[in-house]
Amino acid sequence: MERSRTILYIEDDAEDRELMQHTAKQVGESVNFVYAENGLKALEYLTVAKNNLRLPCLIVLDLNMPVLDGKETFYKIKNEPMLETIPIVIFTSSSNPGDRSLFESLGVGFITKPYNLSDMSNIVRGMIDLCNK
Amino acid sequence: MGKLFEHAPCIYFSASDDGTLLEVNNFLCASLGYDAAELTGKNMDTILTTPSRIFRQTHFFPLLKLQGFTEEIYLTMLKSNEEPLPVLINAVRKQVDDMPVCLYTGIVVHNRKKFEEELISAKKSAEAALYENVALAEIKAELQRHIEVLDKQIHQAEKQNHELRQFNHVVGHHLQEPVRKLTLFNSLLQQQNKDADSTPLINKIAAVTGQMREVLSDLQKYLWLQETLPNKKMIELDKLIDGAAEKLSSEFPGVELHIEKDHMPPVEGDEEQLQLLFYHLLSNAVRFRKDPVRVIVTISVTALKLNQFRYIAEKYKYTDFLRLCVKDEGIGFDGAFNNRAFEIFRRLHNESGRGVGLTLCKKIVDNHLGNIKIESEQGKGAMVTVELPLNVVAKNAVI
Repeated sequence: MERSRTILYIEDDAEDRELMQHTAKQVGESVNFVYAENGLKALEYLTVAKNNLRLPCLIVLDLNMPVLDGKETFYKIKNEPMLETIPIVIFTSSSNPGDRSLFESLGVGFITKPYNLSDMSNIVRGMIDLCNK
Repeated sequence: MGKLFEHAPCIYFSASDDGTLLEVNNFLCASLGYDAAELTGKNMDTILTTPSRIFRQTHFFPLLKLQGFTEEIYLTMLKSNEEPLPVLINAVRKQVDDMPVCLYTGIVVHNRKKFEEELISAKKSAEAALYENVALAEIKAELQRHIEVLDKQIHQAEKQNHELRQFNHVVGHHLQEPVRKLTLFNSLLQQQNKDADSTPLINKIAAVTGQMREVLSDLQKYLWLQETLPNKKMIELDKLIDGAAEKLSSEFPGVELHIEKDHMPPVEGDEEQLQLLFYHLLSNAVRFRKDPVRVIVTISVTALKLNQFRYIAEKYKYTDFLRLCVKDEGIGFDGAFNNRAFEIFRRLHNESGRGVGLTLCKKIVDNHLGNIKIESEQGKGAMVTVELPLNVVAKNAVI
């Protein structure tokens, strides 16, 4: 299925979503960012996108979230036919080495939320590059 | 009858009240190694050992005289060759031709003494076992008391650990996150700000949030040391110190760090934690140097035995420790703070430092069940003494 140039950012924290918006704007909007505030809403979005044959090119996933946390969301997406092939990167403030090694062992990118804007811009550029592949 | 008694397989002899031997049979003569003629007419004391002689005079004969008979009296006779002969004697005192005569019969009891000794030894063993049993019961009761105390302490420690983990999560996530977002939003503000008057204020916010991040990062390191058990293996201290020195040289490129050290034996410890320990010890020497471009640190090593009991009174188990003295020639600090230098966020200088380095050092040494102290005087450098327990492998190392 052809994928839209859309990155789905699953993040419960409004400020983090806002920071992503700012950075995406600064980097240049060659992709479209859509936001979901928890895993459940993300799955609802993905179900609609699947039916419309407009799946995102990348999913950016936070780990610490209410309702359906990042790990549960990750497994639900990976168990869903058609969704399982969408690339996922973890974007989290968790410094838990257990989380990092789990996702790295699954071949999933694990990015720690940065402390400065230039790092943030580089991360977003990297995400857009992943979308272009 | 008299003739037969001559050959009976038992001791037989008679004597007058004054002890003069009147008759002796063959068995007695053969047992003692005398002829009958040699004994008859002699005092019976001549065939008794000194103790038995005294016993006869003070107890045996008075009793015989009093009640007319005695039974099973143990005496030691003396052979002609001076060897002792243990015997068991029965005696009666009779009037013969109006004269009192004492008649003695007896058997040789070679093994009696042996049995007696065995009995005494068995009794002593039983007494010792009883004593040991009492001692064992006391130790058991003490152990029980210790187990109960330990259980309470484990419960307390578990509770504190649980609270600590929650606190760690608060520091690690709930405090770090707002600081991170504050930093990023303030950077956005810096980018978008067109009002020159606000710039110094925005820059101040940036500086203060930076400090906050550093404090949080120190706290996280402290909590990491508090929560993480040392992953112990044999550590080459030489390499560790060289590594820490290299790191510092890159952080302070204009400063020449010179370390004079003894040969370091390996110790058992957590590599990451010990590296952090030496990094902070050397870092203090560099940061609080007197000479702006040159720092000399001396590290001396001695092996010693220290009591491994640190809290329980009157318990001693001396084991091998390694004492490392890290001495610098820096600006030092007021000796009054020697005991307070390890308190968290205790700053001893205005110049630099957040007062965490030595706290982390103490935590690391505590994690290794060692001791640490610092001695300094204003302007005269500082000396940190670290004592780390050695394990079996390390103690064989040549120092």
